[in-house]
Order: sequence, then structure tokens, then C-alpha cells
Amino acid sequence: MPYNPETYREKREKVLGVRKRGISVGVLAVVVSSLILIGFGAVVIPKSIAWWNDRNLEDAIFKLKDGGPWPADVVAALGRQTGVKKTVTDKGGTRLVITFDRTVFDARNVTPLFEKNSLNAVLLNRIDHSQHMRGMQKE
Amino acid sequence: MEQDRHLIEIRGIGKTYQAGDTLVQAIREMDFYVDEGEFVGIMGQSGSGKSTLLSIIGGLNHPTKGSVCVDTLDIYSLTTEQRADFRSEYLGIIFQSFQLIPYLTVLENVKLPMAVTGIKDNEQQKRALQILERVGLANKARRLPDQLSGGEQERVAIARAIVNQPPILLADEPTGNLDSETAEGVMGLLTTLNGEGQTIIMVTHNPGMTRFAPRTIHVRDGLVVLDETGSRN
Repeated sequence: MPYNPETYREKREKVLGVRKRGISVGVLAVVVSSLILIGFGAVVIPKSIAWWNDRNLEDAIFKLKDGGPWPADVVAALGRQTGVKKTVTDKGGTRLVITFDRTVFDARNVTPLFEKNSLNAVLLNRIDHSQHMRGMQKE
Repeated sequence: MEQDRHLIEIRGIGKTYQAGDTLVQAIREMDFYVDEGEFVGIMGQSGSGKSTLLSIIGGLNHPTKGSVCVDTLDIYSLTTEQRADFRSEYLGIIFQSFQLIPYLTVLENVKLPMAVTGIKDNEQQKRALQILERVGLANKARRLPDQLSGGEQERVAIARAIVNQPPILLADEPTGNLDSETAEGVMGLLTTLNGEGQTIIMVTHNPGMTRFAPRTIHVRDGLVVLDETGSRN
């Protein structure tokens, strides 16, 4: 008696791989590897981008010799200098931190501005911006 | 016009082994078909090539020439993985020496083929108990194989072979280790299964057993010498 191949279609498809049973080891390996890579990437990529953006940034920390607060108009004027990314005052406004791109701006360029405003400023420190940020976070 | 198809098509197969310096022709050339629902006995003396033939049909022994098609699948052109799936989907195999796992209970032995199918455990349990009920061993499901008689062990082996509802049952000397009365009981069970539509190919050297199979293929020296179709006694 001739048989009807339709009877065994499902079995045939399973054998030929048309119909998959569950998830294969290969697919599982790809999924697990992808999850590991995505997790790893989520940690490493933002850090890499931050490092790339900050690689030329440096912080210069000034204080006034008399220990007084920095005038706001001077701080604002410094912020407008080419190559200066950010100006921040701390310790009750007595310390001025200038973050600048060392390839464009030199910390010594601020001296004429201080002199013009009769400010007697002292450079306390120059430090890599990323290193400074890490130090601040630890503190 | 489309040719009639057969569930199993053996086309010009041959098998040669290298035994030391000698080439042994286990199968010289065989051609035959088996249709759905047939009970075929393969009868021959030791060394006639009948067990080699069964292992070739079972996808376990690559023929030197020819092809074996089951449900249109040329099983030796499949990949190794596909052939393993083929065995799992299409075949139940009964061995002369039962091949039950001695440290698993009867129920666990019967559940074993379902372990790779993804069937849930409670469904496996239910199906295995139904099959054991069918072979008359539901009350011995928790026993270990060595707590059973030879005939009972063979029934467990049959239950294990049919639990995944394979279209084809291959039996290699299923009564070879049994006394004649027990053997008759096992053959009765196979006959019942065949009556329900199960395709069975049984290898035997015992002429008395072929009377249960409506068709007997006689093999000798690696050749089919007679393909005999008669009625079941």
C-alpha cells in the first residue's frame, strides 16, 4: 500500500531543520555572548568617550593672595576666553578652577586679565582634568 | 505519472568491511521496499548480513554503496545531527539483549527516549505509564530491570521503543534470549502493535518466529534470496 508522505510532514521538517525544537546551542551561545558584549560595552564605551573628550583638558586652580572671593565679572570674562571650557569657584568662592583645552589655551594667558582687574592671584596647581575629577570623587 | 512511494526504500545497498587483510562483503546487493503498516521478518543464518542490514536501515551503519530512503529522506545524505534526529523521530529499536539501564527503574527506562524531546516531565510520566499498561507491566513500573523476568525485560524494551510513537519499529532478534513460551508472548505483543498500524522490521534466525510476520525476506551471503509474502498463522 503506498503511503502518504503528508502523514509524516512534521517529522520530516524536524529532521531537515525546517521546524526547530527549542533554542539551539549555537543560538544560545550567540545570545549569551551578545549579552556579555553589550554589558561590557555599556561600561567601557561611555568611559572611552569621556576619556577621548577630556584627553586635552587641564585644570588650573587659582586663589587671591588676600584670600578674598573672586569677582563674578572676572570669572565670567574668563569663561569667555577661547579654549576655556568651564570656570568654577569653590571653597566659599575663594578658589577659582579654570578648565581649559591645553592645545588651545595656556594658563599663563590669564595673568593680563588679572592685572587689568588689579587682582593679585596665585596659581595653586595645574592638573589633568580627569585626574582632578577622580581626586574630587574620592574626596 | 507519479510513481508509488514506499515508507522504506532500500536501493542497491552493499556493505564491505575490512577485517585485517580480508575484505568481507556483509551485504553484496539488496533491493526491496517496505510499506507503511507492514510486518517484515528478515530471516537468515549467522553471517548472512541480516543484522548489518538492520543497522543500515537504522541509520547506524553507512552502506558502501546504494541508498536507504525513509519517508523520502535519503538517510545517508543527511548530516550526522539530522540522522540522529531521524532516529529519534522515526525509529524505535529493540535489541536482543534488551539494553535496559540496570540502575534505572522500569518507568525511568521507558521515559528515557523522551528526555531529548522537550516533553514536560508530568506528560512523560503519564505517557510512560500508559505504554507500560499496554505491555502489561504498569504494576512493575518502580522495579529495577534485574527484578524482572527475561520476557518482562523484553516488554520494557518494547515499551521504551514505542514510547515516542515512532513510525518504524526495528527488532534485532527480539526473542533470541527467551524461552519459546515467553517468545510467543512477545511476538503476540508485536503482532498486536502491527495490527494497530505499526510498521515492524524484525531480524531473526529462528524460522518459527517468521510465522508472525506476513512477509519474510530471506537473506543469504549478503543477498536477498527470497521475498515471501504469506498470511499470518
